[in-house]
Amino acid sequence: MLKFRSKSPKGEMNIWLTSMGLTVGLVMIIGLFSLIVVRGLHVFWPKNIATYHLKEDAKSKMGPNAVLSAIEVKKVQKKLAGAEEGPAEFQIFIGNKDVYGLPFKFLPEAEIARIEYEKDVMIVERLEYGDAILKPVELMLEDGTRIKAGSKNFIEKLHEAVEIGTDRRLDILKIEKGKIGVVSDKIANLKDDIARYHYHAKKKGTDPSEKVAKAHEKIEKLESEFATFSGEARDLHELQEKAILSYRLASGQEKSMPVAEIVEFALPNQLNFSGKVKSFAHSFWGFLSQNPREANTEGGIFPAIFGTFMMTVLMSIAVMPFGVIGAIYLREYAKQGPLVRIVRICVNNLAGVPSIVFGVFGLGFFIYVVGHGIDDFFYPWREGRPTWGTGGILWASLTLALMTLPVVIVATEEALAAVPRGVREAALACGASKWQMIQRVVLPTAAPGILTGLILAMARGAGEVAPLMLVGVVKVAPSLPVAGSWPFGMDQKFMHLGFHIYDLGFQSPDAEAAKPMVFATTFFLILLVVLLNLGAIRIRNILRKKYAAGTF
Amino acid sequence: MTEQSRENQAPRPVPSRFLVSKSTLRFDQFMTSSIVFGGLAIIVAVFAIFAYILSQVMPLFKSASVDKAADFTLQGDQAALVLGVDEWSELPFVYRGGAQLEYRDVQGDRGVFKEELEIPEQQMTAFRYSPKNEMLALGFESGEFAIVNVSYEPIFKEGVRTIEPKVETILEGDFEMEGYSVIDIGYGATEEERIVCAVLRNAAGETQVVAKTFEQTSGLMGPGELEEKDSFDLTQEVPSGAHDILVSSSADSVIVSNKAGKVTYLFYEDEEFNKRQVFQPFEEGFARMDYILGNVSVVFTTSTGEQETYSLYLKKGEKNRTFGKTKSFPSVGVSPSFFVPSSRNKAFLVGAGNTVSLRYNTTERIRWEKELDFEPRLAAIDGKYKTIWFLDTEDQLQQFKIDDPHPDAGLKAFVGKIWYEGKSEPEYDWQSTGGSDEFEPKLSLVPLFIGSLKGTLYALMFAIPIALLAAIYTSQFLSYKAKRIVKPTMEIMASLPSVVLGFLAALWLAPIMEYRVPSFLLCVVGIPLSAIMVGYLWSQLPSNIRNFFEGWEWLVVFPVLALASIILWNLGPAAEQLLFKIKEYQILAADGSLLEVVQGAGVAKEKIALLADEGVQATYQLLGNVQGKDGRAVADFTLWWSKQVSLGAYDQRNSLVVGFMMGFAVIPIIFTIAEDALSNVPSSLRAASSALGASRWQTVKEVVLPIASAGIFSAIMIGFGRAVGETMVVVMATGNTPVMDWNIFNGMRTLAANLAVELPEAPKASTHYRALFLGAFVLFILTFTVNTIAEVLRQHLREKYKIV
Repeated sequence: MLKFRSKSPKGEMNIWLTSMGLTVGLVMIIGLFSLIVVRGLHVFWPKNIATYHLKEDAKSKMGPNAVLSAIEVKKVQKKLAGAEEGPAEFQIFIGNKDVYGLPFKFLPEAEIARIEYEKDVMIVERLEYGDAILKPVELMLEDGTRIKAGSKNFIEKLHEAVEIGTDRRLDILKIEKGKIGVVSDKIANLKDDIARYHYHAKKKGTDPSEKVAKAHEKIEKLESEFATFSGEARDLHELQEKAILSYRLASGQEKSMPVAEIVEFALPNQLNFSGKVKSFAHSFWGFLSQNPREANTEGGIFPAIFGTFMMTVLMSIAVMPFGVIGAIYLREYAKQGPLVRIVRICVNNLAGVPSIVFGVFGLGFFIYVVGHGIDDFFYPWREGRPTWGTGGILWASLTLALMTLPVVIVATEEALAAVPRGVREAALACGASKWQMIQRVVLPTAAPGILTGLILAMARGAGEVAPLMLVGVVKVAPSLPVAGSWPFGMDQKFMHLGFHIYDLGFQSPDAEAAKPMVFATTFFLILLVVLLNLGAIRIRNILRKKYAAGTF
Repeated sequence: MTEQSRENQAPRPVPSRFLVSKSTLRFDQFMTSSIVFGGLAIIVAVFAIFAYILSQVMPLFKSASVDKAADFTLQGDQAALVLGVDEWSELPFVYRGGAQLEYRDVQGDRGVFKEELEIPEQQMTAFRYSPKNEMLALGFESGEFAIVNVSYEPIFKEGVRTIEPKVETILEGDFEMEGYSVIDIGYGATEEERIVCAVLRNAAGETQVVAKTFEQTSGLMGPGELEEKDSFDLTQEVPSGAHDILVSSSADSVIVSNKAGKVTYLFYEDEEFNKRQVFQPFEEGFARMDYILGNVSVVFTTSTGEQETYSLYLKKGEKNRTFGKTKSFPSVGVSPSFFVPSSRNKAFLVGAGNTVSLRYNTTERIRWEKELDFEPRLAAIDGKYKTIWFLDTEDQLQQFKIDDPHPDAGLKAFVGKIWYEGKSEPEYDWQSTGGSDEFEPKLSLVPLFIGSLKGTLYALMFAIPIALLAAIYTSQFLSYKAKRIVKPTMEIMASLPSVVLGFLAALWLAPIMEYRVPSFLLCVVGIPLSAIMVGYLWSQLPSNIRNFFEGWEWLVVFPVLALASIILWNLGPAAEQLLFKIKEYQILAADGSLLEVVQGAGVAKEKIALLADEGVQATYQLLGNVQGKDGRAVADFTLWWSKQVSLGAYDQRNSLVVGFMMGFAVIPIIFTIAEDALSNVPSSLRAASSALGASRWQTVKEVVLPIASAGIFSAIMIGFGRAVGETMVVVMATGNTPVMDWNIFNGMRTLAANLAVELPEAPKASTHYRALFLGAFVLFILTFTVNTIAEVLRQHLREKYKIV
């Protein structure tokens, strides 16, 4: 019998080398995703609070802070100036920024005498100064009743008090943002009117004083309304100060704060697994639905999600018709020849032009040329107060639409090209006009392909930050980029998940404190982008199957 | 029906059931035209991006245009000596040597009017006017002097702006030199002090150089009187025959020249004058010397019109800044009649005979030069650099408008080596904004371009091997089932937002990398080696086991690589101990005495070179057990790199980090395109190769790779395009310092990152703004060209193997 391949075939080693390429690539991508998922979700998981008792010799140095309640962040091997391994240290989160200054601390392992996990340690998320780690002492309700910590209904009552505070906070917000907001908008509009009257009067040489006086009257009336509403809000604010929680820090220091300052509280050391899951889900949802606080380092990311969503929607509305028309022209109407081939290559290559270049164009053209043009033409009296001549969500969306236009054109063209010739000819043979053929046969068949292109464009647009930095994204937007009346908030600046990451990681005063937030935000951005991409891939696969079956 | 009859018969009308309704036809017509219009419009719009960016860039390369706007008559009996103008160019004045300033209102109806000067009633013999500081320094025959502030004040009345002149003598004094009269005078001021320097001459032609300082006393109500503080005789300090004197407006330097063209530079500090330098710009002497804006550079003009700029900079081995020649300009023809520095930028206007020339010092370029049809005797440039005023021999004021919004731009500014003020040598530099008006913007795109290439290079060095190996494996060896999962997974990697990569690079990877460079380097070397080793061992196994895993090798490799990387990662510190120890060196003088102990051979070498410059011969050797000191050694890669290798410092946010993270963006792109190219190689060719007995690898190497090479090349090109334009990773993960070196362990500033960082702050239509647009234009052209080449190659390849 012949024996084949007694020795290994030549070059087998190299195949293993190539397989290494794939493995490394896959490990990189999977590793990156796992890192983000784990670190991003870890943020929401309730962690036990340890109480560190320091050794005697450290006590003299630390003073009353020789006992600290804190959450362990990580253990680090400190590196000395050299490569010698230094002593091990715990990086701990001590919170209570109002007392300790910095919320993080490094604690040498050698200085710790013992660590214990006390049941009644509470972590409180506050409106200001970040989290507090404390032991509750006493709760004073609004009616003056005092409930000692440890009594049966203490937690229940605290929950109730916090809820009352939260509800009232919402009421205050309704007054301040809603009622007062409307009034101040009206005042701003009237002031703008006055400027307009002056401008027109100067141009035409008439006397504006009558109109202006009327407007001033209205403004006065509104201002008195404004005062009433602020009074209401002030009263509510006063009520917020009544319920007080007094507490003790691990060092024994006694403090107190209004219950209304509390956003949420938890006793993580008492939670069992299901309790922790519940708490996890709760803070997860809170993160998605709340507004950011404290220069974005606390609270949630709702405005950023909304801004990203709005911008992506506007971008899709802008890019979809143009992309499809462009592609239909190139594929169905233009005479196929070298010129169209060159145009096609150019359009294709435009997709490879760096996004920042589109941002530069958006700033120069949309904002400075178009925006300034609109301002000069329609609102000449608003000198120095640009309405459209500054970054805004409309310009940002148009810039990204331009950036993703090649993606849509290319995808649509491919989808159109994939429509079998037979189908077209059948339609024409049945007497359809060219447009009817495109409308009723070609476009529906190509729709999934076009959709894929759009989704890919959305994924690219949603994750892009660099051009947005030039055309209207901001750290904190005063309001959501949507409004009930013209121009529907489209001239407003907005927040964006990607920029939020950049801002938190690089512009925030305390990068270390912001890190968990950045990871959490990153997790959501990645989730959004990956879901969009998976959708596109899924549609593409379905499409392939459909056509694979469709060919005769 | 015969053929004949058919021809004769008129075509029968189409039966009505085949007729298309008019509205359908009209709609079709409408859609056709609108799609054609829309399609063309979109294509045009897409290309308009290019056109728009170009249109924003073009003004940078235009030279100045200066055109005559108007002329005005003056009515003086004496020849004018000084011509000045306000910032708005509405109220020029001339000084004719008496106790009056003559103003000419060219905007309103005030015509010619005069303002009295409070100055000594003496014959004026010396004057110097500084338009930037609005100071007129006057010296008199009697040795007296006066400093007059000639400023303007805009006054708003009922919305109308008028410019009012304001003349105030801020300082009067006497040099108290019997028989000497002032022949040149200079004035400078700091917050507390004023300096007046002058050259005086007596009838015998003997000269004296003197300086007086005054102190600003603080009164009850704001600053009080100026009180004389000190008096200096500088005659001994300077060569004989002093002629001209310049005092910097910040009152720290005094420059005196003599008739022979020798220039003395004196530095005033801590209430005394120190002679810093004596130099001779032109062998044959020069006609005049003048400061340009900023008082760092002096332009010397000879009587034949040659011009050279000397700037203050730190020369090698010197401790203080001294003057050195940095620029030279072509001749203006004849002896200069006036020299006017712009008070907005580094431009200056020089006139000789009928010729006037507007020159820009930084770029060494002539912005505008013309032979006028009159002879200008004096000139002035307004504070906005918008208007030039000439006073001709007929006492006519001629107003010229300058249209030169970007005098500091030009090809040389963007790509040339420029000797900037205060720098020791010509260099490429990007530093667009500075603290003061006198700042000289540095707009070279070269360091940014180098930075872009540097980032791209390191990203590609990392990405190309992984992406190509993965593409080869996926397309040729991977089992079909796995491929269906692997490809989309790699493609999703392409959609990772770059801001995420940037954040991870800067806040996660960089701090880890800082302590783990040796581990990382070990992994880079060790992982491929271990893969090859596994391959070798595997190929020794019996064929039935071997073949079982065909197409799934990566699953076998995976645990091995995981193990290898864990081991290598943890071996890092040990390798650091072994290889990257930094030792202490002692530097010994020629006589063997210990001068210094330093860390690292690189630092020691530098130190010795430095000592050699100072004229000290020294050697270095390992610090042994000499002189009771033990040589210590620390193992720390970052220290080792910055001190031992001396290629540059180690930054936490460096090119290695950027390269690695950018790999995430580039790998999937190269992978996808290369994989497509490899998969598209006709299977008939592969089958033929296998049939001839080639092994799997031989087929790939000899058949598939050569055919797909163009496609692979285009994949790399597109990867290059992506890496060049990557913005957020670079913004976040490097220090964004413009550098010119290729040190992998420090950062860079790329064109793209520069745009993101600076464009939001650049005022619209400024030089800075347009220079950034130029950066964007370069990026656009670069990526577009590279992508086009790649695309053409790919299409070519597709055509070539279509038929097979």
